[in-house]
Amino acid sequence: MTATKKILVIEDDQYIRESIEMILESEGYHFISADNGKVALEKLCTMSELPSLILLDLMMPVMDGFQFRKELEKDSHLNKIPVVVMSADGQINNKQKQVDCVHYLKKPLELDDVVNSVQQYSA
Amino acid sequence: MLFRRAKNIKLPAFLQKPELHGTEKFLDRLIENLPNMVFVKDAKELRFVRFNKAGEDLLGYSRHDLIGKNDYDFFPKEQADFFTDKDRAVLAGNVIVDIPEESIQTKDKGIRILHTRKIPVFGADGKPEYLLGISEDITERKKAEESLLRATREQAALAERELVNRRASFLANASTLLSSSLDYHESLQALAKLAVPFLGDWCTITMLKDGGKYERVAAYHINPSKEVLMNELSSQYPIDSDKTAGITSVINSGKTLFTPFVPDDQIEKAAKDENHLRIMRGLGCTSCIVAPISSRGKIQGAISFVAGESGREYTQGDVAFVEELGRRVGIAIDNALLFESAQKAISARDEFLSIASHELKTPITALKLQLQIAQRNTKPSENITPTPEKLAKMLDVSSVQVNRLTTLIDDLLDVTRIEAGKLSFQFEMLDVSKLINETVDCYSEHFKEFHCPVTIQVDGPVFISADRFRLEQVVLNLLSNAAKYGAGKPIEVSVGVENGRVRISVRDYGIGIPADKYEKIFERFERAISAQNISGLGLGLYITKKIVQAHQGNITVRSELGKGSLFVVELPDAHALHLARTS
Repeated sequence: MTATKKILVIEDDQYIRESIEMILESEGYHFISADNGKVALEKLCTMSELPSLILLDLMMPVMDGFQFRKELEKDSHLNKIPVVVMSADGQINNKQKQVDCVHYLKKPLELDDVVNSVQQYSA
Repeated sequence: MLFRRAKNIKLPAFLQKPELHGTEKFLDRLIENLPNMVFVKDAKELRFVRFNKAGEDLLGYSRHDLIGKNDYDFFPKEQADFFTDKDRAVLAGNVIVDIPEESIQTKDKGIRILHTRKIPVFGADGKPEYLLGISEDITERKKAEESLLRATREQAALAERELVNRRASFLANASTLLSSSLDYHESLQALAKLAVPFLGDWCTITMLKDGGKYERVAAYHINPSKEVLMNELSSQYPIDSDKTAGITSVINSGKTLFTPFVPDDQIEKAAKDENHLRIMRGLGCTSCIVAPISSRGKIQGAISFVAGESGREYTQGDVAFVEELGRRVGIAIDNALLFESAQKAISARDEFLSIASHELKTPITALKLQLQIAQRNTKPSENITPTPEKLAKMLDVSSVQVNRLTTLIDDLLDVTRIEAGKLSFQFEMLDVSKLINETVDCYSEHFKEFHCPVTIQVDGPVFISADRFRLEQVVLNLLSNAAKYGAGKPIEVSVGVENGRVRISVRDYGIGIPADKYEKIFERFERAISAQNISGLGLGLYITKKIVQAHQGNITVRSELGKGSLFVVELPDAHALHLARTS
């Protein structure tokens, strides 16, 4: 069952974030949200149970997705969480090499793609 | 007898001996053996009465053929005219005439060149009775002289051709070198090295930098042991701003400075102190050219060539060549700068496209997901629909996304219109205070999202002639920026009139702007902070400035990092604008 799985959504745009939350909720996932990498790291540090998957935006204020991913790598536990990158950047194929992730989703996002990648990659 | 009567001819001492007096035979032998042609004509008809052997040999005629004849019997008319004219001049003036060069047609030796002296010989009545002529054949000497002259000229022409070729070859090499790198600092140092010793014993290149400062970007001396002095000159005596001094005067006037010979006292006079004098004397300076480096009418710097140890003295030809080199350097620098600015523009465009793509896709993503959620939750066959509350929320969110897209597209269109000079305005009399109040009211919900309370300070109605929609855009852009960068702190807006100018100010207490970005933030696609940290196209302040300028106003910013920013828009008030337009 996927119902108990928890997904961390890191996205600075309030409306995209809320839309993803609605999708996850309707698919029976728990979720935690953050509007930048710094807030996400703070939340991860206080969690008793780590999320099964991180949906990560790249261009964000305060701490962007690139920096957040580097911070994750410093912690062996956090580094095990699979990361799916969501980006509007057309050059994502190049940047993917810089960001360690299991999959990337190109914006504008498709609902089915979001659902499928969460199902496929959540640990 | 004949010769003794000639005026101005004094017989040599041995001929004056008594035993030789009247010895015509002796004189005949003397004349006969002279190596030069000697002839005598009667003064009246200019017919030959006497001819010596050298004359016969030269002309190819025997004296029997010649005696009793005149010049027209032997020579072409032009020559005969020339000879008789001279003869008449001698006889009329009673003077000896010297003809350094005259051509004569001979029977067997072609045309010969003669150096002739013609002397009047006087009769007992004191009038000229005869004309004595003595001619030396200088044909061979003339040929030798002409041949030497021709050889000298050919040598000079060859040297000139060689110089032209060497200069052309140098310019070609210099052009290749200058175009080989777009880092002109590197190219200019290489050029100085290439030009020495071809153009001088040492060379310096000075460029005019932003802010009117001068920088010596290249220096090279033929003698490696003088490198220390060159370094001392560059480090201890930078080009100062004295506009009358050599290099700076060339940069400021655009005119070449040419000193073919530099006397030592001039160096002494130009030296700033003893140490400077020591360096200059050490480097050597006997002749110099300083030419401007320019392109498209703009002076960019100066190139100087100095002769020292070589003792070379520059010519006008060198000046023209150095000026041509200066022009080529100017074009190369211009190209490098154009390339640099094109690269910057391309980089700014790429960054803009990346930002525009991100910014446009963000509301599209939210819109698309909301629509797909609605679709997924609507199954007409099973009579399943989202709850009215959920549906209302989805529609609200979708509507916001459409507004965001509209704003982004409007900004892009505005920039396109500005670039094409097609941003149009509908001017009307309006109250700025009222417009600001209405704008803040209208967008109060938006400011609440940023947790930035907005306070407005106005002193009653302030009327100006403006485009309502565009002025609202200015106020909204400034307020949106204040909210975006305001770190959740209060925003203060005020309107007042000062010296006929309406002053609208927007102050925030947010992250602030570094001083070196004050100008840049008003350019297209520019932000004070990196693109990754703040959303938006970076077009707002560019559009704002263009709108303000179209209202004959100006916009300025003062800011302190971490303490916030103050944007001030100044516009002419209605009265001042009316005066400006009617005058």
